[in-house]
Amino acid sequence: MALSRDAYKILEAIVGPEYISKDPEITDVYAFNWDVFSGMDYFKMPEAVILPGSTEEVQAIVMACNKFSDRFSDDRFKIKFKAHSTGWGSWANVNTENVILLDLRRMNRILEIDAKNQYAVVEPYVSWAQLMAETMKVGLIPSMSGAGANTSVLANCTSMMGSGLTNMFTGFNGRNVLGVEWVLPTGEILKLGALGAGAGWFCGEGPGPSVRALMRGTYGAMGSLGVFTKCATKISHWPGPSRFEIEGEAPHYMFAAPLENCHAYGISFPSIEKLKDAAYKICDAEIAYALFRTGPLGSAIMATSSNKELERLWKTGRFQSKPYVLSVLIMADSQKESEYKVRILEEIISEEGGSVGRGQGEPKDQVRRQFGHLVTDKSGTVFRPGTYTTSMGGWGTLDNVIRQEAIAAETKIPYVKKGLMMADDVGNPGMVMCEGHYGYEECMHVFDPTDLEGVEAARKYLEEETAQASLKHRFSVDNFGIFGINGEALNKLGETCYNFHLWQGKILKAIDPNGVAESSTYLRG
Amino acid sequence: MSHLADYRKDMMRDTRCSFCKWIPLAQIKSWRFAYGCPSIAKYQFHNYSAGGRIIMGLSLIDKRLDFSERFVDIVYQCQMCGACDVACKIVSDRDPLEIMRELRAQCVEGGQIVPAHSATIEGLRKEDNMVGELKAERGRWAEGLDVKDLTKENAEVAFHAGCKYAYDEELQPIARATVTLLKKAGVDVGIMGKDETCCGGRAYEMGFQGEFTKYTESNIEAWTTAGVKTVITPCSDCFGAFREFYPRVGKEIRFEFLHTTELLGQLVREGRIKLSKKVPMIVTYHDPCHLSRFAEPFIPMPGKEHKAFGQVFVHEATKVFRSKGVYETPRYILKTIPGLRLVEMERIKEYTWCCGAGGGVLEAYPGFAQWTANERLEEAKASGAEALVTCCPWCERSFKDALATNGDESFRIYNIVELMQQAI
Repeated sequence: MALSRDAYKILEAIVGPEYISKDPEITDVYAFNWDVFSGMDYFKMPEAVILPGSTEEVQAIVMACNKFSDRFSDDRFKIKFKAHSTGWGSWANVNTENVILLDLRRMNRILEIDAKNQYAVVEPYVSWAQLMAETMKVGLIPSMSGAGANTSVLANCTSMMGSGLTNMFTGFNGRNVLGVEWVLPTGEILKLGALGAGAGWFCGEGPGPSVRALMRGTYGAMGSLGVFTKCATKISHWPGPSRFEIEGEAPHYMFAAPLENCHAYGISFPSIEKLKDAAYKICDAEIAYALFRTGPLGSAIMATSSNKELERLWKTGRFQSKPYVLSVLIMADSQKESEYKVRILEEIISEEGGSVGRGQGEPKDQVRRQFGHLVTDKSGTVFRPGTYTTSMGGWGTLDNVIRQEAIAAETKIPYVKKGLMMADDVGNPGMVMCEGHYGYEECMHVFDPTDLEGVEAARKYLEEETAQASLKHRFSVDNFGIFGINGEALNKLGETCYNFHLWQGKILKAIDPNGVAESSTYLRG
Repeated sequence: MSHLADYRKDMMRDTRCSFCKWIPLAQIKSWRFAYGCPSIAKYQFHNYSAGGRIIMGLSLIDKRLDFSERFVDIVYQCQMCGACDVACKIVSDRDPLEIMRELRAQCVEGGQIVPAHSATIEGLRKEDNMVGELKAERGRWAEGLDVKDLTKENAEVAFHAGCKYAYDEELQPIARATVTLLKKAGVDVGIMGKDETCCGGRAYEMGFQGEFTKYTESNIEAWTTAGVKTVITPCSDCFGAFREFYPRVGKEIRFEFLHTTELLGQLVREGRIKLSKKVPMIVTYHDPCHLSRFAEPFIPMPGKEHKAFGQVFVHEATKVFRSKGVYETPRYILKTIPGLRLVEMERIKEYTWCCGAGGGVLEAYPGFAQWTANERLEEAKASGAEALVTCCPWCERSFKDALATNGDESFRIYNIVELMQQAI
């Protein structure tokens, strides 16, 4: 059902003619995505794309959708809405008919950086790179998403995942999110936490409404429960410089010199068990600013600047030969503190049989490692070989996520042998970002989106293998995995996990009684 | 020459990551000056980014979309500055700028021409220049200059003024001063004078590949006949065309292409130009796009790839990151001038922000060109500089016009040669 002319005029009056379009030239582009879930097809075209510039405009748009849809009980005739920040993932796309897509690009301000109370308030289109650049100036940094510095702070905090390389020190963004301004699908504006009581942004849980768990659960609702228009996030102590001095030319940027009182390591362990035990000890000792591991495949992709180089290096076997590598970053405010932390780390390395390659302490090596730990400018590189998806993993104890990694590696082998996925990563397909005894893991898979067989294999892997593995081995999966699991398979999974799928339905009904939020990424059962 | 359809697989591989909108993320130093792409920064819809245009190109060849006025406007509201390409290649093996060039060629092939560009190209065809002036007037900038005429005698170095310097009376003194400097330093330099023609670069960027080829072949032949060893130009647009585009035509090139700052810098190093007078000023240097990002020859080979490990595509062409531009020599010259203090803007070198003039935008969307220039001027002022220095006539004109339109007389624009003159 096309958006009526009158309905379009109402929306146009909200944002101005410059910021709304139903031209197919515009809407077609917003239907495209790389994701395995669409395969080689496009998603649905939105009825119109609209760019609001303020919370008031967002609210007016949502209320208009409610008004347009009031008289219809049949979903097919309602005008729904969906919002995205950067629109990177396919969850930003529209999956059903009759949807207005809100591109929140114009809402791009950093509203406040409160250095004393250590929080920043942002609108949807502020990127991690921008926020980090500004907070560093006052001796603080946010918990930058591992997805990359190009992603949205607000989206990551309110709606999608929330892990990064510095989880260990800066925390997980599901907990870092403080006050939130939320335009509900009814058009009401709900302010969460201290904000809801008029007490400011400083606390996500109260004294105002405490519904962070409804807002995002573990991973977020990915734009299905309304529109988040502002949020505050914790920012953490940063002992580094107020601005990075970078030298070199693209793509080989590097720090001009090692950071003071900073030590970066890539520690190789003889087994995954030893690596895990070392990680637990490092967590307990509270000495790491960043603590993570990337498997051989992820390491190889990010260490190279072209697929040609990747092909050459992967064939050498260099990355596969040391599959159990833990990355540790130590930062300190003084030399004494730095030495103390390094001493503890060295003890742990020795206890768990780890080793640090020759030359790792040298300035040239240090700038490279420190840069890699702190400047998340290349996360998008994992897409470079073709495209990328993840399956098993998610949040759990290190024991749990590493167990999933082993299962993912095993189930991947037949696909790799048939050339449907890259590559044999020696049983280590995962990336883990540690926070305390917890880790966030993604088991990565690379395939070519122009290769129909590769796409079908990736889809089958997500929809069948991951679902079966999670039921058989009794673990939950991250959102990518859940995304690929739908219908009956998701219901079965839900039955083993406290019927989360039914609770999601109840939450959605309560928050969106008129059914105007496009929530296909939230409810797939 | 390649065609848009040759890029189909690469277009399908777009990952919607939006890297093309920003400067390289590692280089972001503030919230304010984080964008790299003027088009998306102004027009906001995703279509106006390289990623958006890539998807549009895919939809065009897959017949999901057809040409329309809106389609063509979106394609051409872009200076083709290449900032997207630099940022994209940090994380991908795609050539967004090449894809957009082919998209434009497809538009032209399909008769979808922006009206203002029709007039420009008509002028090019008739009068061999991109600025709507008479061919017969081309050599007037050099009147009385006492420099070799390459149509009559040989020289080691050919000085190619470029259309803008040849005809813009306010900027002509820069070209004259440059030739004078070179001669005084003992360089054996000559010019084509009224027989100089357009480099063809902007026509190429506007999608008129046939015209480009014609001028390329004719210029190469003229310089070959003149027996020059080096072709230098003070125009960064021409420089980019010579260095990056000219090798694509497949004609033998027996000379080196340099920007004048490269030669001037060498002469300063050798002591043949002495910069000894104080020029007490705080300046910031604007890296012209074509000098920064178009300095490497690059022959695209779309569609030529093989698969590794089953799924990883490997392009046969060597990946060019567009980061080996001419950055250091202009800065070296400025730092050599006594009393002059150089402060840097946040977006420099391969991630410089465009002046606004390129890609046919000045001709067809002057408001957008001015908006882009204003953004840059704001950045220049934020650096603490009293003046902006550059070495491209299109950049100079763009900034000067923006200041004049704004009634801003407090900030100045200089060409690097002007400051050198003050220091001699």
